[in-house]
Amino acid sequence: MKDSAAVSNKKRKTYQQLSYWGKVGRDIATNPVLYLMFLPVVLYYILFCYKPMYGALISFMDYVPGIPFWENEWIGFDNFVRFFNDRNFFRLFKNTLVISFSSIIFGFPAPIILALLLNELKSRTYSRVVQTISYMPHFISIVVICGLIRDFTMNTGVITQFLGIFGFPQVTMLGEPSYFVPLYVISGIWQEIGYGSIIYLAALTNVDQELYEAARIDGANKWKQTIHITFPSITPTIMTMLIMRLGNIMSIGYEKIMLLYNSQIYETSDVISTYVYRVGLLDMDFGYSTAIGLFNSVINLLILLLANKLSYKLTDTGLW
Amino acid sequence: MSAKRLSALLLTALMAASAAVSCGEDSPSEPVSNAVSSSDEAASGASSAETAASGEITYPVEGNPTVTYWCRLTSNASASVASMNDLPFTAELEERTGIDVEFIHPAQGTDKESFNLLVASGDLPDIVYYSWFNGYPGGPEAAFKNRVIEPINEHMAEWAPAYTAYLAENPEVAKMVQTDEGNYPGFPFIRGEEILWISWGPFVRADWLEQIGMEKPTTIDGWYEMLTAFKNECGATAPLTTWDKDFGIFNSGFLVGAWGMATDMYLNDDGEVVYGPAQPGFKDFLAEMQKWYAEGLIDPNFYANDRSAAETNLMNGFSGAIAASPGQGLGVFEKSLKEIDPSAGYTPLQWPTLNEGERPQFGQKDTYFNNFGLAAVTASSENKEAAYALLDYAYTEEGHMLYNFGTEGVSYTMEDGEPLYTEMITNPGEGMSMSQMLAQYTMPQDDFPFVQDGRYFMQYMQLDVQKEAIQLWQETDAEKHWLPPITPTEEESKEYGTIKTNLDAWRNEWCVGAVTGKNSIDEYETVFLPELESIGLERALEIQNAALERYNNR
Repeated sequence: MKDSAAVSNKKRKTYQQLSYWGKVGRDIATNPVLYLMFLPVVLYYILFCYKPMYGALISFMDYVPGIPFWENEWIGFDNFVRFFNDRNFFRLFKNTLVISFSSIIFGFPAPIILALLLNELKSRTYSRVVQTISYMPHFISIVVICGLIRDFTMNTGVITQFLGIFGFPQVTMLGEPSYFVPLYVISGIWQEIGYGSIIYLAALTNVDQELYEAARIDGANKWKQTIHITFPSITPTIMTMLIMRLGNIMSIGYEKIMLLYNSQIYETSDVISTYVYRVGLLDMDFGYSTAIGLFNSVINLLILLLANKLSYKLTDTGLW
Repeated sequence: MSAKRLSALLLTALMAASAAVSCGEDSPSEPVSNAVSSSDEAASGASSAETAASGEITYPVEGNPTVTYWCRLTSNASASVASMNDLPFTAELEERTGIDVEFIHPAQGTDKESFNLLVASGDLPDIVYYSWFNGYPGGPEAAFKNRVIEPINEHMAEWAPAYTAYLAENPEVAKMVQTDEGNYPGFPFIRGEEILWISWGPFVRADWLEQIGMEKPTTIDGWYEMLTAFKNECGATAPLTTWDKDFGIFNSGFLVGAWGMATDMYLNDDGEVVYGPAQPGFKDFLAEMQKWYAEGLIDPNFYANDRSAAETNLMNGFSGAIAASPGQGLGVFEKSLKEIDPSAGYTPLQWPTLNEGERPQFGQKDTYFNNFGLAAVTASSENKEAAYALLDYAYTEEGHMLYNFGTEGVSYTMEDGEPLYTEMITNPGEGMSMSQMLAQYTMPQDDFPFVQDGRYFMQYMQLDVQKEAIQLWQETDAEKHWLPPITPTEEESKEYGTIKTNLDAWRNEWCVGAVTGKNSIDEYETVFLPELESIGLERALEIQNAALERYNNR
């Protein structure tokens, strides 16, 4: 050990001179414990994200479960062509984008606003209480949440009855195609606003308090302070979250929609993932559903790259 | 209790051992299981020599083999246990057959996905209980070809003598449970008697009928009159309700049957497969329903309802009519309603017809085997003979009693040659229902591979109103229109599956809209039918009719 140390001491390159792997090696040698802690994460990604990727190959196959993987027949892009020619393709595509964009436009700023409001609260106790209550819906099972939504928005439901006071028609909201997206988005905000605000609250605690002091001396009121100090300070966090959210634009989970929709509102509520569930998983058409999944992922990736580029242009922050 | 724990422990040990065996190592710690499961012909020949000689299996079988068994955990059983391994029924079955069963259940309500993923994983248990005829694309023949399961033809005479004998005595059943090629995929759930074929029908508030001074209506016009009176005189806001969403209110040909069709595929009078929504007369039906809906006779939320919504409507007097099952529907609702108002109650109605005195053509009636489950032994199983023995037990006389009535002296007693459930089953204490008790000791309420006994049913139908319902609902010609368990070929099945999924989705979407008034009935010919055609209705019927021909030629 000592010998080699002496030798390497002589020849030791500076950090900058090392090759990439050399740098990694040096880093591991200096911070072994950190890397050990990182190891499970790497393994997780290799085992659960990279290894299963070969499964995407079945989107080019006439896949039959049960027979050995490589014995399946290759059919090229047939599954994709089938999806693009599907009678529901445009409706599914449109609904997916509409629901996703609406969720981002209205749902994304909500936790930020809540975090900013909470940050301004003087009473710690009150702030804690508000936070706890607003987290709660996140931890309730989606099945229960959707049951509540369905009951409350029925023609006899409490929300419909309440809105009736203001002249709102007494109809079952989930039977009206035009109400589905607002219901989906608003209930989504209610579910996630508290939980989503945690990360922004964390970012807010890191804002330098001296900045506020300086602003106050310059005569800035609360609103000006928020606009010119608080907001810019958490922009990197906001941008990161936004880009990540945009990267999921095509992947709306099917559970909530499945639990809420019915045949009356397919025209605004049927999305790609619910269709995949019906045709792919229930009809055992794995090749087809994988093809649709792959199509989604490709679009997601493109949007992610685009959003990241734009973000650098506009705010000088981004994912990488 | 401790015996149960011990057996569970033993079972775990055996499982571990057999897992080692299935990994390809001949584990010396588990020689017995090997003897039974060995594919070595000499060994299996030797172990089954005595059974072959006597023509029946001697239970308990030797060697205490373990068999893994994938099936749905029914809601009745799930009320008290997390797995069928914990049921007293299973303990009794294990003791009698000498075979340890290790049940594997999919999560509640995910049977279909779980089954598909199970098959895709390639890691199969010994027995898989599923609707192999219509649940696996291409049916059992495709499953044979893909080496998922094996036909039981080769060994059934030797390893499953009781089931073989049953089929020989019931050629009608035998035709239903084989494939077009004459292969038997496994052990089916059979509704042994006609009385068991009834599981759905309409019933209404008897006290309301009295209040409005009406006889039981038999026709559509009578129904219209009754529902209108329910609305105007009894204060119903949703006179006719349902617990099935989308178009499910008309399931089994309820109301629509009066116009001579069902809402799905069925056999017409010429014995051809047709799709109800495309039949002449369906438009008239939709027009009538649109009128009913507009006048507030049908639950305004019928397309979004579930069981709890229907129950709320019925118990609060918002609704007075529904079509549902005799046990979980009529029986449960009758009891709950009586608790709220002892003078209230339900009465069953016959399936409505268009004209007075007609015999209903549609309605719900099953037959011996209605695409229900079939327990298949997987091709990769290493315990085939034990699996056959376990499944065959259900078709023996003793097994028949166990599956239907449980253990004598515990869950039933024999009186004048008739098995009668004990008080423990029929009248359990607080918080338990008869269904839940039955699920602990017996199987008759669950589709499971055995022959269901009619003597169970009449005891389960405890209320007079239920018995009356069964008699009344039987009076249809529904069996003429019943679609037998036909299977498209493997190549056709994906195509058919996609078309059928889209057909039904479009039917639900457009027809529900027609009933609620969102879609104009005039567009039936210009919008609805052309879309059905463009989805591929003709092709779907072609596939189905070819499959039917193959079935008829069996």
